Amino acid sequence: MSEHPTLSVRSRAHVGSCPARRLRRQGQIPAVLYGHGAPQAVALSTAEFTHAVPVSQYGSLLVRLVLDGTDAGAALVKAVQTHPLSRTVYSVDLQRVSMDEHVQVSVPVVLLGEPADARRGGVLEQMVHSVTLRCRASDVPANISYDVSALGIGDAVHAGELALPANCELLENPEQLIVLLAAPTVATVEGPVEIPDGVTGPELTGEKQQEDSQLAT
Amino acid sequence: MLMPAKVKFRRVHRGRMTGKATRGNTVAMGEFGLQALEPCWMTNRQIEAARVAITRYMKRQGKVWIRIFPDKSITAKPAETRMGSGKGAPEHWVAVIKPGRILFECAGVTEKIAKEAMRLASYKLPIKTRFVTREETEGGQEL
Repeated sequence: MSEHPTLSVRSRAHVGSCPARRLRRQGQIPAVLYGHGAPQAVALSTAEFTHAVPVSQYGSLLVRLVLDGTDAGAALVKAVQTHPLSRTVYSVDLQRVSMDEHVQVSVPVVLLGEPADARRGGVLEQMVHSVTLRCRASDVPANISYDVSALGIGDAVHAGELALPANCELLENPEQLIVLLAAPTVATVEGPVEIPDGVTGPELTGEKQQEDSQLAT
Repeated sequence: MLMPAKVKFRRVHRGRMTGKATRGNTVAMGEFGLQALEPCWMTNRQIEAARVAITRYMKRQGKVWIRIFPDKSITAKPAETRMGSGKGAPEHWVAVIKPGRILFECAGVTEKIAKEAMRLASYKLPIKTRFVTREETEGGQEL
């Protein structure tokens, strides 16, 4: 438990959009703590949260929670809402877990190395950037890494081929494509695509089409 | 140029462009993206010009995704026409863009090439944009 970062949270009495906005103005994040009991509205420091929780581990990081100065056990940073433009954190969902409990987490997939064929024009396409695992809360990995340096053009890696840590169960389809080293594409159309003569616009479907045809006659 | 293959109605209302993009605001497919910072109606000509700028600079390497689609028709009346006699004919097609929307994505090239390609594409667009990476936009759930 000592390797997990510590988050200090304080309980808050007021819920709703206005108190939440007031909290954000004060440099705090409104959050909810649920699981193993009644849900509880809490607040935590924005600076402490952004420092302790990397963006890549939103949804999978286990933290040690200090609630109002007392140790409140472990919690999973289950979900984080961010502003679409400023990317500031708006709201955090924390899920209380016991260390031997099985949890479902979304873990990032990290590719290591560079394929030799990528220098010859192959395009490394990562289709899926995170996979869902089921494991004990104490065994949640920071990421799943895969070495792609041996991939050739046309080679693909599926979810079932990922090396998972012990006691981790993959909840994805094993046939799910994770990464593909695609052949170089030769684009023939360089300039803007012109609309051929005679094509005036899209085809009409539905009732409006009948009305238009009646008007034309 | 992009336009719908089939539509139910030829003419649509103008609508509103208030608020931020609550969907399509993360880099989903590629590694780098171009994010809108202002609202606008982006025409299919502008989208096509930006796409050509990106693919030309990337010298056909990597992959480019267009994350927007012009599905709204804009009508116009012919020049020197008296008012009345109904609404004009569809003139062109636009995509409704709200701040935060990811317009284009690319992958398979270095960050330097992607950044320059997106910079050249931004000159073809009617709004302010910014270059974003997957790390900057991932993680958080869309509001």
